Amino acid sequence: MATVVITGRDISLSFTGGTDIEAQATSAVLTKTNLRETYQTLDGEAYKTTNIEGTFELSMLADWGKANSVCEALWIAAESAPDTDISVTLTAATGAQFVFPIMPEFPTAGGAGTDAQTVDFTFKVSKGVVSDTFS
Amino acid sequence: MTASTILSSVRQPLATALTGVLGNVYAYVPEAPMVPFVVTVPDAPYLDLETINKSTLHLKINLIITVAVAYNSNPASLDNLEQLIISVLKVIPAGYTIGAVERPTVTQVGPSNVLAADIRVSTYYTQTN
Repeated sequence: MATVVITGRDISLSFTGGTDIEAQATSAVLTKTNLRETYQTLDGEAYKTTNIEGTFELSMLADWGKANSVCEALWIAAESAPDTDISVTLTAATGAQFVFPIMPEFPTAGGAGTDAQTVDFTFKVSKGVVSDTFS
Repeated sequence: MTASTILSSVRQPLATALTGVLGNVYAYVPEAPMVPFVVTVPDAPYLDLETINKSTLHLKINLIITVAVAYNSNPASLDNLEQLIISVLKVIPAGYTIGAVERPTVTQVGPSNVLAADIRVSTYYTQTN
């Protein structure tokens, strides 16, 4: 089998609200983690997964003032419905799609005089629920 | 819908924004620029792909705005160059990051010497069609 290489250019990303996030996002990373307890028994180590958590880290170029601004949509969502999920669909590459809910966070505003304004998020994936579709 | 180009979407609009300065403005390098002049040229690296996804090309474009004045008298030329740099910095449009202004150097253009300095700028471009 030939070596497969996928890159950030293979990622597709969208979220409820339909704003053009792919034009702004410079990095999108979904992390799902098993919280596993380790017990020392007379037979050796035993394990029990007690919870599953997820985070979604998104870095993007700020787009304040743009029509259908991602920053403004997230700001409004965080202000008006902070406990209401936003559904995110991330395709890592063709044939590997992840759909998950995140809790809205406020974007930062402003930046250094020498650089483009950027925004970095670490969203909590609600209840760690990630729906995957693998081909 | 006609496909966009970097020349029509970025370099020419930048040159148009610079037309108010007291110099000859070019969106490319002409064979024989007339001093004082302002020329937009590619920086290195020229194009950066920073965003995810490949269905639409979003590029970061790094450009150098070279400003130059006649080099006849060192103090007067430097003063003229500084004034030209300031006037250029004032009219660079929104959406551009402005980096360092490099040290002025004497450069031969055609038969004459000019005092020139580079202003490093960057902006973003989206390819349509």
